[in-house]
Amino acid sequence: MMDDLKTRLKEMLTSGAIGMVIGYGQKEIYMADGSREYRTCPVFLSRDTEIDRLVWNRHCVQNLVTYLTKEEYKESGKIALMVKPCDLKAIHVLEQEKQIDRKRLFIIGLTCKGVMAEKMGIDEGHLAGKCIKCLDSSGKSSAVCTPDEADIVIETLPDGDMPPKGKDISSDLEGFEKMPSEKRWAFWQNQFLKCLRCYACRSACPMCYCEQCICDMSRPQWIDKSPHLKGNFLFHIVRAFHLTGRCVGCGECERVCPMGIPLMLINQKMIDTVKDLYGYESGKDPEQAPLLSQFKMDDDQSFIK
Amino acid sequence: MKKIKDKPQESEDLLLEKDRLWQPRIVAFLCNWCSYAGADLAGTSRIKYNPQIRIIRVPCSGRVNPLFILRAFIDGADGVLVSGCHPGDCHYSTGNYFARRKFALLKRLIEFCGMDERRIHFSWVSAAEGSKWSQVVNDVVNAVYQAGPFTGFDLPVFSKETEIETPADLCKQGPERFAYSIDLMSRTGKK
Amino acid sequence: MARIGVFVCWCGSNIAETVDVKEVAKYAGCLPGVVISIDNKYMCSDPGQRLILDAIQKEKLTGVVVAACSPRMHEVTYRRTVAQIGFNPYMLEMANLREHCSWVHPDKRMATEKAKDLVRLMVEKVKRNQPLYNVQIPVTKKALVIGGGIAGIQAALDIAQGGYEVILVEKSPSIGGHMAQLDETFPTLDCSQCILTPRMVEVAQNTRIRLYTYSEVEAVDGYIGNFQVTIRKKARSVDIKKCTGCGQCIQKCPTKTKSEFDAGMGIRKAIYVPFPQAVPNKPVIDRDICLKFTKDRCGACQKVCPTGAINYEQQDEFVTEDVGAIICATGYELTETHIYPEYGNDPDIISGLQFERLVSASGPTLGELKRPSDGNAPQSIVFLQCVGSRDPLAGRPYCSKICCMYTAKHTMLYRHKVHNGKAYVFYMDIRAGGKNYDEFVRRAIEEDHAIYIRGRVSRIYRKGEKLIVLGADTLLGAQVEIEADMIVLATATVAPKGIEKLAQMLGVSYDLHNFMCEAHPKLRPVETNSAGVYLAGACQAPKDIPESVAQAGAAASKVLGLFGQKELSREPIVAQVNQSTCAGCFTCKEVCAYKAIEIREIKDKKGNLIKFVAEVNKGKCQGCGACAATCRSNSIELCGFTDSQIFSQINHLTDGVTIEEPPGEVPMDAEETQGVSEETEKERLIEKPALAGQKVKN
Repeated sequence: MMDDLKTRLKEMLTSGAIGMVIGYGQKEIYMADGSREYRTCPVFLSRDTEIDRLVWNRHCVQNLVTYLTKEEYKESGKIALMVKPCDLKAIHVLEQEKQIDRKRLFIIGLTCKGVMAEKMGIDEGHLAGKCIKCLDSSGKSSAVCTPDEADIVIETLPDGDMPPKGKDISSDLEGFEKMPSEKRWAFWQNQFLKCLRCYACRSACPMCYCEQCICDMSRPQWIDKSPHLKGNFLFHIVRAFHLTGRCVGCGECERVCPMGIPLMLINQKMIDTVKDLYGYESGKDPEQAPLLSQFKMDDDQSFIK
Repeated sequence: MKKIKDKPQESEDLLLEKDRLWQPRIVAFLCNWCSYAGADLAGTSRIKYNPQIRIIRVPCSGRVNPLFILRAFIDGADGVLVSGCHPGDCHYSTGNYFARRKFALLKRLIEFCGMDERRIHFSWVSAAEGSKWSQVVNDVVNAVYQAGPFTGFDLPVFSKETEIETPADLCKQGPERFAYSIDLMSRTGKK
Repeated sequence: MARIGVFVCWCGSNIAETVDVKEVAKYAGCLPGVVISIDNKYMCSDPGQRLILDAIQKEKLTGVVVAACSPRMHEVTYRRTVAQIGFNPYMLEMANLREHCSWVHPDKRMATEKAKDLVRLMVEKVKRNQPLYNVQIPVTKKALVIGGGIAGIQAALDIAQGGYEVILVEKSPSIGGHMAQLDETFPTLDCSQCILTPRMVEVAQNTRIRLYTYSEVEAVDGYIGNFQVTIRKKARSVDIKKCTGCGQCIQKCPTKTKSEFDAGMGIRKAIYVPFPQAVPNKPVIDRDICLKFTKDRCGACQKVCPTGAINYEQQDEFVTEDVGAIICATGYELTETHIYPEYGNDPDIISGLQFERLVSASGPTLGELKRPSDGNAPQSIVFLQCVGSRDPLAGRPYCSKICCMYTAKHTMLYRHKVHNGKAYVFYMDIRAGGKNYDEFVRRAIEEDHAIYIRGRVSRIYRKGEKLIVLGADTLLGAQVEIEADMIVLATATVAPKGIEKLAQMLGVSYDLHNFMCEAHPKLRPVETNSAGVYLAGACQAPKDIPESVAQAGAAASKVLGLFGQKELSREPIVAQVNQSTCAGCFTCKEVCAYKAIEIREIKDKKGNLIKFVAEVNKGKCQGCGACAATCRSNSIELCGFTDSQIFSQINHLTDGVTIEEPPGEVPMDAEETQGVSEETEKERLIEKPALAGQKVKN
């Protein structure tokens, strides 16, 4: 199946039907101790000779939709993109917000039964957090999901057994919400204090496409730029708020955070809140109006005096 | 400023002593057409209310960006109130409906992060509700007073205790991996 | 460098009594950027205003803060004053020391502290003010009236009378609307046609009115003063210029159907003029039933037409018109007669409008009252009111308003035709508010002996010749059973089907029942929240003829007021997009209630598209700022309430708020301002610690 795809992509590249393939590929990296390893990482291929680098395995955790809105790829003509079913939601949100032209996109739909957490931390060797949620909601322990809007579907599943499940974020969330507010505040203070303001979370997020991020604005400087508590607090709250009703829970922000701030805890909370309050699921339908640009007469206002 | 905690255990005298030293600082964002006019009416009707509130006029509650509220806390407010027209009364027909969604989500978000719910308030006050305005202000001041001074951005409590109690060892990863020997003092920038 | 002047008003003793104005002025003088700070007993008086003007000139001020009453009171006054000497009015702001401070805070110390804060915040805001200039919008002095019923006719005539051109669009083949269908009108019982048709002719003859009948509004673009309207002229299949209206084609036409004008009581041909007095009095072919179009045969009309006006090949035509204002007068519809299953669907159960046609001298029976089933004159008629209206379960909790009056009229018309006939009316309440209205209903009951029964009808069924009506008389508390020959239902008045499409096109909001919404229910009843679009008649809510005519006149006067100005000048409190940072997500577009956000293409020098960005149409923007608050990259600013203005206010919130000494003794609670003894006060301190702090002595 992959071979078919590769042949087709090569053809399309040579004929100029597509300008670039963004997919998963393998790369040889040198470790600190001098050894060499293969890692799966995003690859950007614009020559047909490179196409053979494409892979589809359990390590393809990244959400490649992020790259679609990056300046560098706007000029590359039609882009073929490897998309996991969950990543499709991000495409929907971007379509909703008129950021991408579906016609400029050739979606290579992957059939997926969960990918591994690639976080350089505790969850390594486990199923990624987002997959637990995804597989649970489809009601089967080893669900196989297929993107239905893809231009071409890869039906082969990646090799290997189902990795063990890691910790489920919902249980974290439940535990966390039981804590008294001072404890929660202290927890987040400690977390936000670690933030270096490297903005990796922002760069990895498919929804953070603003030409000028509010965090970079200096007149007025709403959000202090130096990494101290006040600025960090504001940055993270604003980041979470700007993702409210847009976050599709791909977990990239948390995965790339070098300081291990559990950003998905906030994001998941907001995903749940939005569903709970307004029955809204981001990325469900590219036609629906964005959450904050619609309202219902009987929206909850119990909190308003 | 010291945190006022465990209030019931302190003697009343001590409480009063502290009360005298501290007055809550509350910012109110009022829409021009209803709530600001309602506050004007409270004035013309000479309805007295607590003076610890500073009003910033905006055209519509829909103009209130969540940033305003968050920034007010950063800049030293102990509490924030946003007030607009009742649903259906918006001068701009739908501004307050959009605002309502934003505020509902913002409130949930920052309360999730541990913000005391007594510090953030929303109300609908019409141009005819001078007495409601005074009541809202008194209630808000009262609530913020009970919550005490906002010291959330003072030096955090980075104790063993909070680390252990947080779920899923979530806060462990960072420091461990990156030899996170932090000098908290230099991070917070003061004190 | 900012040079700010602060002017603190005493307002006689209104402010000075509880706020130490001298101290506030002194404090303001020390604020960075403030070059002059003075107080005066009455800032709004002539000498007070002179002070401000002199200071602006002498000190070369860049910004002014007047610390006085509410800006809602005097902002306009002060801004106008400073504008006299060429100072940009939007560089002046007011700090509200009276309504928000001195009048509500009796504690002089606290009030003074608050006053200082308020002044400081305003000084910080005004430093970041930008000079703003009114937005000038050219106005196309031509109006569009949608709907050719009595409201539309009246509005069109009034505007034309004012000297401006009007385009009147009507979807059916003739103007006249529902009023043309009525027999006689309440409360005078004068003939509807007699008063309406002269108006219709006037419209046709008025050189300033351009009439588009059998046409619909297809698209509306633009904004107040500058609308572009696309009108679809539906194919009439008759060349209106060649046609003389002789009517031979109608006589020859073999195809018949129920007449819409006669509310289904009479018949018309496939080629038809809706009614004899129609304007224009030219026929139209109903392509849905015409044999030429359905089966491609016949063609009788073409053969018989002496002028060769029949044109089967005619196509829909699109016309674009530039107009400056739009009046929407699209009227109402009645619901179906069989909305309640328990009433059945008998041919002798008809609607009020059908009854009008049955009694009308120009109707299918030429004014002779015959019941639909057998053509006999009904000896008793039961009229049911509130059929479908005032019924939350049917989804229409509102009152249809006109039925009480027309039912009373119907009973009279009936009794005038069938002298010994019995007219029963089932009603919920009689709503006869209006000049001579209640007298009219009383006349129906007392002189024409209509029998009014308060109650509802539970069932209607046929028994031989008769219809049996089962109902309740709630005043007697008894069941009622009436044998009737005919039933007339006062069915609910509803918005026309599909009208929400037009409302969306116009940017007018509509309520749950698709009635269009006015801008303010009391003070702006004919305006809509889409500037330049006005409402007339029953499209807004059920209305009778006098009300519709009155509203049409009001809407026309609004249009004339708009056209009377050279250019439209609007406050510059509008949003502005920073197009270099706009990412083009268009969330702002969705939250704008005025459709003021438009999509603009940014192109490079070669003409290649770089990106799409939002652009604010200053003609449409009303300055609410919802877009600015929604923009994630803060790429939208609201002039007059910019981010940096509000930021600086928030940022300077807490400078110097430290109160070292305990505040003085003044009771703070609104309801307990007087007569509090020491003891009760102490008790309260314990209960309400929040307010206690301010009340402690020593």
